[in-house]
Amino acid sequence: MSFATLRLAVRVLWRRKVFTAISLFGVTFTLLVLVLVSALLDGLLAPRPPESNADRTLAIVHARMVGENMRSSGPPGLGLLEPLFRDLPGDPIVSMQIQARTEAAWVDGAKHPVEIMRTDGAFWSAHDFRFLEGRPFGSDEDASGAAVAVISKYARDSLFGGAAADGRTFELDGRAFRVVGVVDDVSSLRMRSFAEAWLPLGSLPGAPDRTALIGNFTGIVIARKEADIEPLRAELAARAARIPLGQSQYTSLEVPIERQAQAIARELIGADPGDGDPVRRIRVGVIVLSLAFMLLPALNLVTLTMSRVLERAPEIGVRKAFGATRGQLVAQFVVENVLLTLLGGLLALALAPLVMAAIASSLLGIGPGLSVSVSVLLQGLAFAVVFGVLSGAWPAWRMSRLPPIEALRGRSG
Amino acid sequence: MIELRGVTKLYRTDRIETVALEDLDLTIGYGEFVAVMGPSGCGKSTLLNLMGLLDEPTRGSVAVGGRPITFGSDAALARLRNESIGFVFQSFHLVPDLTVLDNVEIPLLYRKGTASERRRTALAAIERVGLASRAHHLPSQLSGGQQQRAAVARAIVGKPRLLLADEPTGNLDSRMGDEILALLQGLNADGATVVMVTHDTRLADSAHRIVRLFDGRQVQ
Repeated sequence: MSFATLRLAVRVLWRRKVFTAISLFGVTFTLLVLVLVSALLDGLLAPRPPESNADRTLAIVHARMVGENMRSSGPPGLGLLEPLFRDLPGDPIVSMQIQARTEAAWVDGAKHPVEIMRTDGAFWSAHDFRFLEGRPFGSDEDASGAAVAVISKYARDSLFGGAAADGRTFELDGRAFRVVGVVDDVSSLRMRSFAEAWLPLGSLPGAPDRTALIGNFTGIVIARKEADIEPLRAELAARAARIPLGQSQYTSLEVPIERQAQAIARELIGADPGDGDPVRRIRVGVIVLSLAFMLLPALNLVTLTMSRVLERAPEIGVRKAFGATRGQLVAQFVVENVLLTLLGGLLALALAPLVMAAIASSLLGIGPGLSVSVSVLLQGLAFAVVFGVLSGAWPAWRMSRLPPIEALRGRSG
Repeated sequence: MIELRGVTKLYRTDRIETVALEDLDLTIGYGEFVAVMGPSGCGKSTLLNLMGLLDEPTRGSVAVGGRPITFGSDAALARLRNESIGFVFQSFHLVPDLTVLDNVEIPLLYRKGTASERRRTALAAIERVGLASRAHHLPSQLSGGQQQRAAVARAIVGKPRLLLADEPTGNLDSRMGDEILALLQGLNADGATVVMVTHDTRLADSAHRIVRLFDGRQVQ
């Protein structure tokens, strides 16, 4: 592509302002939606604070027991996770949680719904929360069942009107919990760490069932380095295979040991562990859906491009008369379209943070997890180029086939 | 330089068939300056389009430089048009989005050369037609005569061996018409073959030979 082609493309777009404005609106809107979808996926799957170690994390979030004519499945229980996690080689960080669920917290007689996660002391080493006040609770406090809590900034605003919360208490299930730390809000897209308040597992009322293989826990193992992941996965799988099923009627136990992104992707699409790489399936699905989503605006842009190209039939005739080949003409019109869609892509990327901020304020929780990362940026620009080529190639190819004399007479063939 | 043998050109619509040229034999040698004359609708422009490989004969053959032309090959035709043929169209056909300079550069875009070389060559051609002060104007900012001169500059910028001009002085006053004619004669003196469609007898008289057409046939 020569500079002359690019300059002509800019001039053509500038001179046909109405066409450019209408096309840009369609392109920008389409690409904005795609950028938001990309950002959503990125927010779910990419390593991002507080789950900065996500790419070195193995997650055990599902177990299935199968017997003759019966099966039972769900999150793992302590009877499964404790023997899996005990003295693992390579000194990984291991942590167990009960996923966040809404519970009623009381402050000064007022009820506040709060997303509460129960977890252990290692949880705070596994993730990198940003503490605004205080400190995390420790393993000793978990072991002793201390009624302490770390809360999010949002929970501090909700429970204590935004005032300093370190040392203050709220009531849960008739028990007073003392706030020991306040952290920055976590996006609900961060499925392994999201909550508005984190309480020690030991603070749960009643003694936990340490024998249940299926329960309501999830477990994570964070390898110290990438090279440790596969040996750890093998060790965990071997341990899972040795876990006795006891007197139950079940004959086998299936425990997927997956990288965190895979586990989340599988949960999202509800796939079985043996169904292939769920992250790849999601990415392929998103690409297919994105192409389908782009199809209608692309067809619209094809129509607009066609009318723009028709208007310029004499120019095509002149260029052919002076030696342009079909390929050179197609390249010229495709460059014009790609320039338009790239412009739309850049506009979409510029607007995306504003829309994300609007989402953050209206759909609380998701917001902090959405951002235009480098990968989202690259995907957005790739979408723009594909869109431009898709919508420009056919009209350009059709017009380039016109005999020069027909084109000079302004006929479309 | 160019040879037409038994060339017939028909234009067909659903119900009407129009004969634009019929069984025409014409040879134009290297370095000739030929004027094509005839009443409106006699096939002058069609003849020029066929010689310029812009259109395909319904019957008959066209040869350029001794080589018969196969109209199916886009790349070969494009190369031949680019390297050997220059056009001055009756209605100029300047690209409205481009300045005079950019319009004149068009033939050079499809051959080797740097941007600065293209610019230099195009400016020299523009200067040659006396339009240097309008090089950065858009066609819409030019008079008819100036547009005609820009079209001539575009036709000669690539130093074609065959220059086809359809009424190249039609929109010019007599002084500018003479200048353009002198320009074409200069190119012809440098070795280019010139074929010019004109209604102007005075202009035609300055050519080496006049080809007269009537109802699609050569009459002289």
